[in-house]
Amino acid sequence: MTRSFGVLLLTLAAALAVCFFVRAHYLRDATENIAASLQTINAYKAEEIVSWVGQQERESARLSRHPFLGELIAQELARPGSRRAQLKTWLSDHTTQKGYFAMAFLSTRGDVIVATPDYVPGTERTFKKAFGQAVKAGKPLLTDLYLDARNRPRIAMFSPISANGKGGPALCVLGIVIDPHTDFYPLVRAAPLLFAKAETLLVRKEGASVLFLNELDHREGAALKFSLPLSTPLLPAAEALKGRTGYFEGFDYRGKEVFSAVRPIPRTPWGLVTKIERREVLAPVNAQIYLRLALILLAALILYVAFYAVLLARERAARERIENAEAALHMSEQIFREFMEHSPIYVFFKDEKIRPLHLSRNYEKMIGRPLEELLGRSMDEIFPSDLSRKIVADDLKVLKEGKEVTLEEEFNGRFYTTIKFPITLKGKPTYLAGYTIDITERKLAEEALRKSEEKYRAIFEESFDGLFLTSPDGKILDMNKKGISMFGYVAKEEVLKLELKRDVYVDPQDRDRILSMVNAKGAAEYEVEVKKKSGEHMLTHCALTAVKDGAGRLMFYRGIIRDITDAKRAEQERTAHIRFLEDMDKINRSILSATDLEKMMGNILNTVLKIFDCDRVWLFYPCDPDAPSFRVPMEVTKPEYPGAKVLNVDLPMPPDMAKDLREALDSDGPRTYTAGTASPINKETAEHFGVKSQMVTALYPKRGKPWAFGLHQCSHARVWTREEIRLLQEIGRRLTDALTSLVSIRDLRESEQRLREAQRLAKIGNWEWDAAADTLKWSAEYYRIYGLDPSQRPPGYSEHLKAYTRESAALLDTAVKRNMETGEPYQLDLELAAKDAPSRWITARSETIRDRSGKITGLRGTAQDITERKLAELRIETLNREMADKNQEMENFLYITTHDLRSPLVNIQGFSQSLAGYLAEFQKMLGDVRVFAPKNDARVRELALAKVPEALDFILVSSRKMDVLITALLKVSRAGRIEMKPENVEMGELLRKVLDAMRFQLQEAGAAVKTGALPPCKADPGAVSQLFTNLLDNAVKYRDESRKLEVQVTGELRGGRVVYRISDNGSGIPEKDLDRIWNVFYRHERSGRKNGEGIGLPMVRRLVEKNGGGIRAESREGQGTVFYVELPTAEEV
Amino acid sequence: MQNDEESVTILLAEDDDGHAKLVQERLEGVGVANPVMRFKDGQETWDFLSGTGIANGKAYLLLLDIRMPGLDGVEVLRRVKTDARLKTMPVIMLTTTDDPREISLCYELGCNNYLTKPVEFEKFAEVVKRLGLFLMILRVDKFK
Repeated sequence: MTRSFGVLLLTLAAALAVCFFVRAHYLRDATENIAASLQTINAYKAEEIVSWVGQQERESARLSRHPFLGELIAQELARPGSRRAQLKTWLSDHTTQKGYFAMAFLSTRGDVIVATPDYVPGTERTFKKAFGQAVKAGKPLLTDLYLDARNRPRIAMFSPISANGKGGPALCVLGIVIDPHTDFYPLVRAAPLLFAKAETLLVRKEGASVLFLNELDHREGAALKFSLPLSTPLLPAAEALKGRTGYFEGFDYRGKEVFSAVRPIPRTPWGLVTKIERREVLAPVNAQIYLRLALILLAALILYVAFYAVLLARERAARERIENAEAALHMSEQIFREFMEHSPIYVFFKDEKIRPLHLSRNYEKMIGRPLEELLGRSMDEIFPSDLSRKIVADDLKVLKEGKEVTLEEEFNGRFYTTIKFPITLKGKPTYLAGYTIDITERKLAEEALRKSEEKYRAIFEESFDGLFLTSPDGKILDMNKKGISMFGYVAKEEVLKLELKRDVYVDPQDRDRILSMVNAKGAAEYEVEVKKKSGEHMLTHCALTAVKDGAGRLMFYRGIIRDITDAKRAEQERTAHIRFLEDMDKINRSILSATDLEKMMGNILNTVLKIFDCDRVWLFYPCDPDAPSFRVPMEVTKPEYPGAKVLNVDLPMPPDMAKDLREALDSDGPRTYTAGTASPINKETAEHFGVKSQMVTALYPKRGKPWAFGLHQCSHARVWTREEIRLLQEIGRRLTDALTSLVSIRDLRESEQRLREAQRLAKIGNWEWDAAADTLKWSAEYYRIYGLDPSQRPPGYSEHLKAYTRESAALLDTAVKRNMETGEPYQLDLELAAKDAPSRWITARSETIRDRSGKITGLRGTAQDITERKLAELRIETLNREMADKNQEMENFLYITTHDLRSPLVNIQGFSQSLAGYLAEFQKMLGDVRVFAPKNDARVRELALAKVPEALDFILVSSRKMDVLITALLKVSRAGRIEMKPENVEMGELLRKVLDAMRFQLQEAGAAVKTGALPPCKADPGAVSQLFTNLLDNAVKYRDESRKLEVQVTGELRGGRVVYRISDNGSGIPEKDLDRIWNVFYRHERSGRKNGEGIGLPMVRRLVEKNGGGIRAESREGQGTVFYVELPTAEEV
Repeated sequence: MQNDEESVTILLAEDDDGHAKLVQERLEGVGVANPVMRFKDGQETWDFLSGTGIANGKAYLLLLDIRMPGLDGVEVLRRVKTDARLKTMPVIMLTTTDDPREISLCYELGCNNYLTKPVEFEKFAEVVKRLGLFLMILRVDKFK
């Protein structure tokens, strides 16, 4: 036994030694393996990155040479918006297809032409710089990684696109923005299975720092944001940037000890680090070493036992063989375990009670507990209850049925496929063995694929364009809802039955043509007309791509279809509208370029001729079918088709033309006539003017009659289009405005001419004065009146005052100042300062000019030459004054004369009377005594008794007669001197009083007086009373005794006067005397009748005239007389 | 009429000799025997009236012709009627006209009567006679 124990000790010692050797060796091997692996991965990643970069550059170059893009862009740039939709479609397709983040067509200045929705214009320095370089070089360019405006890592790619895709100046730049998270980082990150723990870092030198370009395992959002100084010691990333290639042991960004492989990536500024944490990578190695140590010790024990057994072999030879076999088995297990330790596959053995006997090491990671805690435990101690129940059930099933089973299980969010099978060893309970593979990645990939498929479906179905797949033999394989509804179908089944050539293409040959194009180029865009379900045709825009499998065999066609029927129509309308606007612009320019209206009208007509390319353009006046004649005020023709030729000459109106004019007047817009249509050219126009097509519209200028405006086509029967009709209508409107102006200006010219003429005739000049600027404006007649030179400009206000005499100038100045202050206009008669000529007079009238606020800014007015009137007035004034003086003189003369005449008459009369008295006394004494000699006695008695009394009697009678005459003259003269005091006179009342006073006289004469209506007058009541008394007295005095006297007094208003009519049926006045009745002392000679003083009618006349009235008489001898007394009417009180 | 002491002296202002003679004759004709003093014009009349001619204790009647050279009758009347001492003296205006304006003017100035000269001197004499009676009845104030 002692020997045996010594052997045991020896064996153990050896085993320990072996163990330590093995461990050292193993560690070295492991480190070497790791180094080799890391370098391999590192190299592989670097290659992949280089290849990725290359691939992007190639793609970029490819796009740059894309022929159809260049074409499209050229069109879009030529007419912005025209190809936008196509470009957008292409961009979004391409973005989706390539997995880019965003794409955009950019102008060479960087403006966006078309972009996908995610595209954010690059503002970052890297972006702009790279863009600039790409544009400058005209070559595609891929940027470094950069952070975009929202701090997201991005790579941009620029492909300058030239017109034909063969280089040349860039029309635009296709910008592609790549999200490295989707396209690039996975490439860096993905690690081969063994080094799942390994991390690959992409770095760049940024100044004195190391910038980490990709996302880090142990630091959130590190990409492009996290950096370390380049001088950080033993930092693999720094080493890679310093140019080192190969294996490097150092400390990573967390300061953990790591194994790493580093290298700069060629043709990039990047360094690549693949590293693995030392502790982590060596942990399983150490575990294995310890396990192995234990095994070695075990082996040593086994060896010892074997030795011991050999010792015992002699005793138990048979038993020795078994023990050898067992040792062999252990070896095999050992190998197996070794395999298991390294296997990525989870391997397990379970006993019949479903308890793990052996588990591969990786279960520790899967379950998160050391193996030791797992072995021998029941399933429900290891796995969640659901899973454990399933596992147990599956396991029992396997054990029971003895068959291999493949299962999928999910645990801790990961997916596993497990294959289980029973292992039956002779004489032992059945083991259960199996292995499990982690299929999470595959599963996730499948899930991603499914989701992507769903997304594609959604996009496919929800697209606004029709999307479809067609087979090469002409069937529709698939079509989205939009496409189906576009064609007017409801169900997809209907569409799938269609034969493209038969049911879809309007022209079946189109399909062959299109396919040959697509097959040749891989894809094509085209417009094609197709049939809807209803049979209706539809113009569509399609993009068709041939889809090929990996081997390049044609599988099917994929296409986008869009109904552009409406768009096409809209485009045509737009083009027509643009043309319309261009034409109107030409018209407007022809209006603007003209200097006068006639020229402008000519310009318009010429432009119309060009625009319509017709043979004649004309204006016709008047557009009046009832007018007897017409004229052509203006026409423009092509030389080969002269028109009316005679312009502005009246021509008789043919009935045919009248009909056209009536239609033009009845129509809202232009009327068209074309030979050989339902609306042919009238015979007159066709024959006389050779017209084959005509378009006419009526123009309505604001003055005068309407005009007709028309076009003639003589070369061919032209059918006028809707657009042309509309254009003519619009031009007609412009022309109407021009015509209105033309007519207005002509009228204005005539009116001005008439005004000048009127001013000349009336000798009225007009003027206008702007007070602030002190500028005067004078009309031509003004110059003439003032005798000024019309070529001289008017002077200022003060200077102009010199034209008047000093008195007139002062008068005018005062009036002007008052007018400017108060706005009160003036009217003045002013005398012009004449140098040598006789003085001239004007009447100046003013009018106030105010601005909008009401402020007085100046005056305007007229100056009328009134010299002749003024002179006449002065003459009349003088005459009147002279006359009044004369009258006064006469009155005084008369008064004085009558007075002075009376004085001697008093003596004559008085002494004659005295003489008569003395004579009577003498005669009395003569009868008593005889004192005379007898021879004288008889003579004395004769003288005293006959001669003297007779003479004395003559003297007395004559002096009495003279007294009467003088008294009458006195009365008349006194009437002239009486001052009249006019007041309103109620004639009815006044006449009543007059008649009352004369009652006795009238009754004596047996007169009947009738009065009618007597309107009141304005006069001196005493005078009126007297004149009526005189007239009635006359009627009584000169009545016809053979008949009863009838007098009528009536009155009426006539104009502003009252006319009283006093008629009698008296003896009347002989016609020859009718003029003389107003003379003083005229007396109608009648025998045996008492005569009046002869001053009645002259008195009446004086009284009437003194009261501003008049009197006249009508008479027929033997029938009666009518006096008409006219007086001013009473004033309204 | 009774005695000189008692009788009224008639002052006749008349430029026309004929007229003056006729007035005197007519006065005599109707039995007016009062003393008559004749003045040739207005000035002479006024000199008498305003001077020492008017004797106290005597009564006067002034017959004034309106139309006289120099001071006319109307002016003499105005002076008489505005003179405190003279204003009570009766004044008869003599005129050749019956101009109502002159008549009213004289009455306004305070004349006692107004006679138109020519025409019938009988009528004139009648008026004077009645005036004389009138004077006697009223007792013409004597100047003191």
